[in-house]
Amino acid sequence: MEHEELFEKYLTNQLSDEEAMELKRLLDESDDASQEFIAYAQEWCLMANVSKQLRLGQVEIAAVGEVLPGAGHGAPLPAVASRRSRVLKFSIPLVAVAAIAVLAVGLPVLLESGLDADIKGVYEIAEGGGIRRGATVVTRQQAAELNLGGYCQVRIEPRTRVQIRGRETNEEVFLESGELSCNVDRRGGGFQVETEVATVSVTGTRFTLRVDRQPFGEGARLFVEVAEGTVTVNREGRFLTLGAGQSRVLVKYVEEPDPWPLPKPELAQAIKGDQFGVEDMEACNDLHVHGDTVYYVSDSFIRYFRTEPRTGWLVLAGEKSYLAKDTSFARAIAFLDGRMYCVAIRERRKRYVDSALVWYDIDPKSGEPVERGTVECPPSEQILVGPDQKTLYLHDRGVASVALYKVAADGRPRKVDEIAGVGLDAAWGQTGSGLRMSSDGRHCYTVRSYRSKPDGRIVWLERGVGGTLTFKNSVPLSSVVGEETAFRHASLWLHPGGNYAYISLVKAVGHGEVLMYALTRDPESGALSVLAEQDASGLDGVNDLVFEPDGKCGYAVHGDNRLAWFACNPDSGQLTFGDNVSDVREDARRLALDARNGRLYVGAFWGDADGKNLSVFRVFKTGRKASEDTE
Amino acid sequence: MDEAARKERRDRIVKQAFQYRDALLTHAFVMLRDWTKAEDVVQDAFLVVMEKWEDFQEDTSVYAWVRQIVHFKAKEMHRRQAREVPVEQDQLLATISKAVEDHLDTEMAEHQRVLRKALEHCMGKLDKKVLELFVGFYWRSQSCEALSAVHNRSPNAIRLILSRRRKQLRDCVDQRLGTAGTL
Repeated sequence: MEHEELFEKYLTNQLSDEEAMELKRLLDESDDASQEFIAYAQEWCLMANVSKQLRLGQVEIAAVGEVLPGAGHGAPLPAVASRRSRVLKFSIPLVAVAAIAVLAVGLPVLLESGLDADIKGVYEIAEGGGIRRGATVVTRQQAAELNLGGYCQVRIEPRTRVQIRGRETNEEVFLESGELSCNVDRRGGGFQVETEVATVSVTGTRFTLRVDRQPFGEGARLFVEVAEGTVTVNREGRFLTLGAGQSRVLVKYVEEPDPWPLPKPELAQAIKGDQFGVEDMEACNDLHVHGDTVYYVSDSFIRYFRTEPRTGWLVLAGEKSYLAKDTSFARAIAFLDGRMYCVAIRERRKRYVDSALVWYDIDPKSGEPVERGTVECPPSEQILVGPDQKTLYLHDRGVASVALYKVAADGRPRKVDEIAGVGLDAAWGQTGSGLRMSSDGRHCYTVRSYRSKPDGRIVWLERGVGGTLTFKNSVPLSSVVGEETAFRHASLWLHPGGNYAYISLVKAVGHGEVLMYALTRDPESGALSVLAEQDASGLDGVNDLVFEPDGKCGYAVHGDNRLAWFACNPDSGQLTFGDNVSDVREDARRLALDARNGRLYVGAFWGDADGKNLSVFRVFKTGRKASEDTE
Repeated sequence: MDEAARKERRDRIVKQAFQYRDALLTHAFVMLRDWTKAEDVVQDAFLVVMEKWEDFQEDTSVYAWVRQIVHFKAKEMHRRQAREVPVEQDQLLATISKAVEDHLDTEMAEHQRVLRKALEHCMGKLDKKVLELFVGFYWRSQSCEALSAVHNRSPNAIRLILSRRRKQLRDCVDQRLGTAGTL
């Protein structure tokens, strides 16, 4: 590889481990190469700094450094100095400040409505005009940097709406949606961020906030992560203090009419491959709804479907034939920031060869995934998206690990951590035994079971700063059911409200007695404790289960060809079995809920549909529609 | 030393330190590969200079002094994020760290100041769209793939534009300096 290519990859964080060693060897062995590298880096940095300076029309510190001696020593700090964005996040002795004051001359400064602020980057003011109190700053594709009062540095991430409020020395913004990263100098004054969910106050710290508006049930979801110092979160008069390294998800639910009586799901459509000129739908490995598109993942294809507006029927919009050579399997997908991530496993003669994490841009109009890149990854059967919307968790039950990937602005995932063992090795192939993340984003849970020994356990992990997972604790299944026995199937599900978990167990002995338990969850410690044994009829041997976003009802599919629906009391955690829908004739395997449109999708494993050994993809109407219940 | 002399000395040291900001940023960026962190490190170092200017020994180089502060702070920041770095990358950083210490010396830092002046002139001639590309690629650390989506061009076209314009800039800077410099 050419030297410059290696240097560029290093500076852009794109070196593979092998390339890192190659660059190390090169620099260790050749002084000329070292010099070449430094010269290249100098050029790189000048390109970056000078282009930025020209783009923003700014005079940078280095460019005007020569004018320093003209500054009056110890003179009172001119007002303009307090508007310099980055320097004032530090404590600067007054005697030295005069120098900085002069350096700041020439920076864009806006003064309106008593607001001491400057803003850089690409943004719009929703109401028109300039920056002022009451103005709403909107970013699209790019971020903007807002400096308030000279002591609050607020990075407004792309696709964010934030309104400027507050007053001098007590700055405040209202985050409507999107993400802010804040850096506040405690000596400057107070600062708080209001959101629909809660108000976050600080006196000196660095933290990140993200508000996602939810389409149904949840009105808004707030994610707070503190990097330094502390913040106080005020939610309707209840205060919560978060310190460095802590994060929290808070959810606001919208008021809804009483959902009872629960409507029964009705079969709307059964899709067989031959309807769209494909041989077979293939067994469903994963199923997701993203926007107006449904993605059906099977071993060889990712097929995507869209609703035909005139008839309301779901039609095949396209397919991505994944990995033609070797024997390769697309296992799971997840969506993050308008992109799709897919884990694929390559096997030969039933032996694992390697696996890859592939990412795609999603065409917002057609839903088509357009492949953008691939990185190697541990073999995984499941992908979870972190609550910060910047991290992915790849869970592999085979080798009992969870790998943490951080996603860069260009969509490239980078592995930053991995946790292995500690009971993550639930039996391979049990679709219900995946990793579950609590709705507050603080804990992950899984359950493992063995057919041959009574060593099943529920394991939970804590999600720390940067999204890293650490083992927290585990409880044996024997303490849940009150006897030492082996289970051939164990599944665990979390209620979207965050206070309850449900575990479905099938005994390995005899006829396979089925048990179902509700457990309470302590949001602080993540600990689960048995609440009550549930009526397992209809909720036994569950392959997949989804709750409606409000947590008041849900659906489950079984290995014995049934789709069940049930009610849930969000206050007590009690589940009430509704009924079975017998229209599923295959081994129903995966569920995906489109709450906004009142659709439930069921992907099947092999079945004997119409006398053929085919997989069928079914669409149900749930009878519950977001547009009918919410604004 | 009377107060006026102290102030004069302090200003001289601080001014000299600021003059090397580009080289110091390069030092920090090469170690951290993140502009936000590199800027934080350099600003931290300037604050140390402003607070500890009396510790500077007159018969030594201001750049060398500040560079040590930057180096120390960059390593400190790297340690904080070390958990996220694979072993191979960590070993590489030790080599990189030595390379910047060995080669990004006062002479190179001075050279970088001269280059900046020339580059400001040459880059000022770029049209707005090309300047956006440079800002995206070098400053925002966006890949050619990401830029291709924004600018509605293929990633290869973006690479080609950057490569050609980079060469033009190098030629322009050479011409201004009358040398065959790095740029």
